[in-house]
Amino acid sequence: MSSTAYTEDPAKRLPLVEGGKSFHDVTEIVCKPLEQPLVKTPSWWLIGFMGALTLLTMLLGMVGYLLWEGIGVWGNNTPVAWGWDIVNFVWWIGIGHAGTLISAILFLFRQKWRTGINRFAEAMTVFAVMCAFLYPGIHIGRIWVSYYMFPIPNQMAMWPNFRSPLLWDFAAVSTYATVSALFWYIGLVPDLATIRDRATNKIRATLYGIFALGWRGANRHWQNYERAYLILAGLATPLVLSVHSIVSFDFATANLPGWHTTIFPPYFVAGAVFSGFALVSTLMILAREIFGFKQLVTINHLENMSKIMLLTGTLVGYAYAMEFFIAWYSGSEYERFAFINRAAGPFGWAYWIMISCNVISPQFFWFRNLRRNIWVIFIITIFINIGMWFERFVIIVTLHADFLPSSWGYYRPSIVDICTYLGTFGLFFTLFLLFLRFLPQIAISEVKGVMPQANPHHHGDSHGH
Amino acid sequence: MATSSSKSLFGVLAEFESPAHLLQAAEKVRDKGFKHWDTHSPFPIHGMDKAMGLKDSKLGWIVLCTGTLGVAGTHLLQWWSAVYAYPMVISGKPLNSYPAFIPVTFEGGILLSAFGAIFGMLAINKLPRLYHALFTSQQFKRATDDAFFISIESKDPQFNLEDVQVLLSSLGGKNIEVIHEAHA
Amino acid sequence: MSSVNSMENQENTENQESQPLLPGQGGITGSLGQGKKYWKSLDELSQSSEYRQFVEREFPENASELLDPVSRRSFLGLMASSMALAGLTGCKAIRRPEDPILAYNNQPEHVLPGKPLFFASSLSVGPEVGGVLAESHQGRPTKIEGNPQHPANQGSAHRFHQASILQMYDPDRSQKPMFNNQASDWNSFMAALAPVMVSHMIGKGKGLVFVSEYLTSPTAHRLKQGILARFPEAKWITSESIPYAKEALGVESITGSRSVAQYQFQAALRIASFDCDFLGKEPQSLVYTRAYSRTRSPERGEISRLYIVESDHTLTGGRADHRLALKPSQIPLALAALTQKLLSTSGASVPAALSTQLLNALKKQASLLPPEHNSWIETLAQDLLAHKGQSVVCTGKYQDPQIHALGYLCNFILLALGKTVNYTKLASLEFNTVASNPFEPLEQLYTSIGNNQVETLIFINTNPVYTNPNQLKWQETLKKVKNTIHFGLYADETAQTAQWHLPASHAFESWTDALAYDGLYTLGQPVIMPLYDTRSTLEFLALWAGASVNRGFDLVRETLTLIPGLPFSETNWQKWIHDGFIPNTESPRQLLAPQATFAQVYTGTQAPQNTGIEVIFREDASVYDGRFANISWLQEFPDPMTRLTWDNTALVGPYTAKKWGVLDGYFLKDNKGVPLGKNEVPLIKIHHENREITLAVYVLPGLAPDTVVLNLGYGRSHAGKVGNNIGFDISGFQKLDTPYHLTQVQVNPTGQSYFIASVQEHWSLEGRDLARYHDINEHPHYHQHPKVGSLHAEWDYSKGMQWGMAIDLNKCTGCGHCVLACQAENNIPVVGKKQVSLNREMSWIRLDRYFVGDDINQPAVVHQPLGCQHCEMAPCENVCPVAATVHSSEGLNDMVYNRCIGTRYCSNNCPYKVRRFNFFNYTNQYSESEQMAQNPDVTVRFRGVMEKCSYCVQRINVARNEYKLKGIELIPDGAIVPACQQTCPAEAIAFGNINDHSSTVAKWRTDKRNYTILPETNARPRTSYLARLSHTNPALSNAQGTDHSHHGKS
Repeated sequence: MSSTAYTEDPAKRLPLVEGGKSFHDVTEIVCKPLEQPLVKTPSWWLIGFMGALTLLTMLLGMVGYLLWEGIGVWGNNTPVAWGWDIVNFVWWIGIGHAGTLISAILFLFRQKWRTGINRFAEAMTVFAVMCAFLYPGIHIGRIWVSYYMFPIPNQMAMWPNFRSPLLWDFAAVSTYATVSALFWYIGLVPDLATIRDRATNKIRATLYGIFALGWRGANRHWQNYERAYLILAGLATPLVLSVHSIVSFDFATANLPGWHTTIFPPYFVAGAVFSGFALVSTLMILAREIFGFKQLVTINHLENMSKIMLLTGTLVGYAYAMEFFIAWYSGSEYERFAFINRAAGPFGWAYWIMISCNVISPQFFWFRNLRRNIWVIFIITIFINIGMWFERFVIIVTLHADFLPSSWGYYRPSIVDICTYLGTFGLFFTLFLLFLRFLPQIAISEVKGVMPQANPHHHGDSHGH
Repeated sequence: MATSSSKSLFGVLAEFESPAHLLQAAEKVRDKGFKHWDTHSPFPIHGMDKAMGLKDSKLGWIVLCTGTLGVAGTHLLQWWSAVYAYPMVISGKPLNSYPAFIPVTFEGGILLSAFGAIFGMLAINKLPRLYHALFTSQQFKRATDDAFFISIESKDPQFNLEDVQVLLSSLGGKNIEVIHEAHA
Repeated sequence: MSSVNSMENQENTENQESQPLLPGQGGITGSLGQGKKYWKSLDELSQSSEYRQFVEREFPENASELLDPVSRRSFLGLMASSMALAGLTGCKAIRRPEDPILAYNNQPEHVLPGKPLFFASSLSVGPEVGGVLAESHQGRPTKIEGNPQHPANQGSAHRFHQASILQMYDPDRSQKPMFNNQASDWNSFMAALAPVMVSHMIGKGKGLVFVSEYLTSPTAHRLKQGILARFPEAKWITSESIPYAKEALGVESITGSRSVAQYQFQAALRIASFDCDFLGKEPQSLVYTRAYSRTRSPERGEISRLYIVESDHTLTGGRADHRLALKPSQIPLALAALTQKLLSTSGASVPAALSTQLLNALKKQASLLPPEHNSWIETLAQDLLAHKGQSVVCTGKYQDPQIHALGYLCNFILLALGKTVNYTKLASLEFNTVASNPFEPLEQLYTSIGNNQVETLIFINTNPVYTNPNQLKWQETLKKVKNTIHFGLYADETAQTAQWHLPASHAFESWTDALAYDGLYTLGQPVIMPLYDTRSTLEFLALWAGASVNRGFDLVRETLTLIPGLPFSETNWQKWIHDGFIPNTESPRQLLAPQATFAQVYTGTQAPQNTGIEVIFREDASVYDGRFANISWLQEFPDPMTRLTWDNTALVGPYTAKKWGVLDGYFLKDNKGVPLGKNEVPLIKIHHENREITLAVYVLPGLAPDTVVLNLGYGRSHAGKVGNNIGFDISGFQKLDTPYHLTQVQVNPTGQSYFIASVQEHWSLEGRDLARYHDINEHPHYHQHPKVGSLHAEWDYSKGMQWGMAIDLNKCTGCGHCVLACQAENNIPVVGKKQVSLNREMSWIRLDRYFVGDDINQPAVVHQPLGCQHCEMAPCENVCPVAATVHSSEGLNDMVYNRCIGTRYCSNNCPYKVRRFNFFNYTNQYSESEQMAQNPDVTVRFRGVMEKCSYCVQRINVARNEYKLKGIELIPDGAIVPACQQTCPAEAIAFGNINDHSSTVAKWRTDKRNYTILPETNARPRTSYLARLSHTNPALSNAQGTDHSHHGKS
């Protein structure tokens, strides 16, 4: 590791771990909740888990019904052939961006404050991407031949059309899902070893032991481990930027007014980071209240996140404005109509919800005392998640009125659309609660790594290597 | 220990109180010219690679190879299937629409690089390995919590049980323990 | 039912002696020539209870769980009744008629598997007769096409003709005699009939009354004469609900000859129509559409100019260069004003006695016309007079006889007779009761029933209990009659009240003949053995006539032998049935002169000063008078003007709707309004005298102020699973003495709303340059987008055969027959009202209808048929991840159904939105008999796949094989005719090889009016359009006529 990381004096910065905790304290704080015997599972967890399972069951029911009857059970129609299916896909994918971003980009930028939240964020990423991945799977008309999309030799001797943004999309999202999952798991290994070594009964020791891969904290391992982590971070950074760019190609490469714009890739990435950070904050706030991680996940963490939300939110707002300008500047009557119709047309309400949630609400983060107010952050992040959903909705329903007025129509989601969407929350929270219950929510080894006493030279002498 | 005679010797384990002590001790052990030894800590200690005199990790080269394979493979697949295997007129675009092949090529490269990094790392570290002699030590369990160890293996040519114990204690090692394999 | 099994039987044409299977093992297969025996066994089958159980099993209630189970299930006949199935299983047999019939093509009647045969046949709807060809695949008729040689069709088929094939396969058709609504059979009917007949023979037919549909068949007429000879006191009454004799009576009143006009539009340069929808609902619309469209092509010199005065907004009104929307009561005044102006011009060779007297009456009427219209009429008169011999005045069939008389008089003055119009006898009228008001004869019958003078009443293919204004009264009255017998295709409303219901054979199952509207002797061959236990109309009449022969074949043949001067011989007979008609049998042209006596009879309909809100009743564009109500193709056919499916509504103009306050909040806002429609319209109550009706209002721009148009034929209670209880039954709201026109009605909005399914909610072009439209005198500078280059090397389409289509908007009238032809040819499923309301209709041709103009009370109309544009740089292809839609070397945008996984991305990326997605397994919903109507040359699509217009690629391939075998390299122009082009009466579609510069399509593409839609997308469509022209009269200010000229630059 380059020594630049250590030129800064931790004493001069706000401490990332408060209250003068020892290494052991950190281990204790993180491991306590998940070492509770099953019988002692807290009731809030059980209730939440039951609720999540119920929604998950509903999801399975809805998907079954969809596959039995056909896409017609949704609200999709001929001008608006994509509906909530793609809206929710893009929304979940966007949310899935914070994790890798925090882990990878903040890691590369040596933002040590990430250590308190990256595990959390990565877990969220993996689960969100799973929810997102569900949609492309089920939204096609003939799911039983979806293997046509894979480049595998088949009886028709045919190959996929690699020019299709949908195929890029498929490649990007599946790569992203795989890499995020591996990244998350590899980060877990040392902590799993910690739990293994603390295990009081054989079963725990064996189960966690298997997943800890026999980690023994050897420095010859740490060396390659850190290198692998660095490389993964280096790979994940362009990846995370590419994923939402490519998702945006689904729209940007189409020739429709309101879709065919080059601003989409950067604007989608900003939006993804925006929504991802929002959901991470929402969940972090809940978690630190419940588990009392207040010293590990400090208000400084949340403030930093708020700053990023302010930045990305404003970027998104800029993109909205720029879309309108370009539509006017293009001189194309279709482009102009598409955007005026967005704001003033039958779906104008959705547009204004989007604007107020995404552009206006983050502006409160200009004020330090609001940035550092848990409740303000909590409420605003909720708004942001709503707003980002509506952003995708607004983009998709642009379909309802494109070139030929005769083909214009309206779009309403069916009850199945709605229940399927709620169901994905069931999937997400089922996995998330399992994570909270059985896995370390804070990257123990990384937090220890950034504590003052972890620095071998922290007794004054700071001659770097 | 009663069992010591029956079990083959693995080596000696000693605990050090802080990352700083571990680092200094490691430098000494390195200077003594030991080869088969290691330090154990709950988190990576910076400067330890140098202190132990480790060579730079080879992982980067592995990733380079797998990554290149990913890029070349996915692009060739697209080019071959579109131009030779089943050429089709699509939107009047040329058969070899290479700009359209870039995204998938890119993702292929990333995916195989990531595999290279993860599985390469595990391979170099000879992981997973669910059994290790050190796991027989009770105190070693703290190696993933808040303890810092040095272990010197018996297969090291310079290994001599007494000398090693003396050396480690002289470096400030505590709870010096002789580790045996769990079985003969 | 293991349809696999049955399909085998169907496909395997060699296996003609296949043994009947037991139900459940794949249905019953009959074999040639064993029909009767086969029927018997079928009867037995249908009775047996285990058979019924087996049927229940076949059609489980919950077979399809869709969003609106009611409408989808019910209309698609998913749970076809056990009787239906009994018939259906039969359908799987090869059922050729027993009597020798001749293939239309030159090949002998030997069947080549995979090669369809075409048989000439005919269909009558009221007085109009169509000469059609039935395409038959190994004995299974699948499609109806126009008989190219028959003058009434000239190769194009009316949508009623197209859809009648589905009617023949309709599982809801009645399939057995019924006695008091209990299943019975013909034998017991015969048994029951014998004593009745005997007693009537003794009583010389006293109290015996036949009520029949409008007869066009000479044989039927001959049998009718036989019946009346056998029962001298018997009465015969024609019962139709659409007027058929007003014109003949009108012309008779002024010329003494019961003649009707045969317009010769091809010779006309100025056309004035008074409520005459000759492109739509008038008889011979196919002939007139062709003739009119030909006068619109600028290549042949000056194009015609069409003036129309109407209250409704009809297709003809949509084509008019000048349209005057008047309240119904003012149309006679307008014509009176015109006649007056024409009469008062010098050189009108009209008997002075007539003119002088008539002028007074006309003046009185003309003075009642709102003065602001005078200049319009004046200009019209001048224009007509300036083109004597090249101008014509048309009058609509719903207008009173005197209007037609004036119309004749105008044509006489304009020297139109023998040039732009011929007057000939309506030959078939002699077969029928002649009454200006078709309900009159029935009303007399009604009173005589009241006086118990009727003992036996026989209804033949007519349904007065539904169509008569006094529906309820009739239901009651019929109970008074001792014997009531109903003979018809369906067990309809009348059948419900009759004691006996007897199932009739469909026209395509029976031998028929008919006199066409112009008198041409037309023959109708059966193309399939009756599917069910039915008799043809002729056979039923023969029963009563006690004819020596009782088979349709012999009856029709015998009639021909009896006609004096007809060179009947075996060879002629064969030629006639082969051609479908007997040449040179048209009624002779009448050279008529106006008689002075007309002046006395002419009263001049005196409209009251204040007529308030007026209502007119019209036949429906989809279901006519309700007789087609059970044909799902027609129900889902969007009305060419309103674009409504599955409904009839009260049509009013925006002006009126606003006045009633029903417009706000409902789909129309204003020119720049919200570009979409909710599926809701207001419900209103209409009162007239003691009658009232509640129904939905739909706003049709251009309708005359204070006018409500009601379309008949809906709200039926016993039409069948498709037609039952949809729309509003308005027959009961008609008034007996003035059935088609009411004045002084009161209207109150109810505040409730009604659910409708329109396929086009937004009617404005938004000033976009999509459907181009300009006046012949102006030369607009359309925004011509430069051909955008491409970054990469482009594909070379300059060699070989490259298919392309060109559509001349200037010829297209928007009639929509192409939509039905496409549906029949390409196995396009029907989806139902709810699905249509969700924009999921499947029709491959979207017949876009735009209203243009600033005044939505006086808009111009553009129709634009839109199928797949087959873009050379198709945006849909690029985005498909599995290459399910790709380009062929001949420039077709191919859709590969079995490769499609249904991402629907192609539909999103199609700038024209012409792709259709199977949101459900729609085709699966067809009953087995309806499936027989499907074209074996076209894949039936499963749910989850995208589909769209293929340029009828199956026809292209047939031609390709044909010419390959002949060793011809390039397929000549005209060898490939897509279904839409084939049936287009306006000749508005050209298809062919755009590399062959001699081809029509190539020529059209070089026309200066040629353009493609959305050139800026650089998709380079292969379908191009020719801009529509209007031919406005400079003398008319925009205020009055419909101003078209602003379009294209808005």
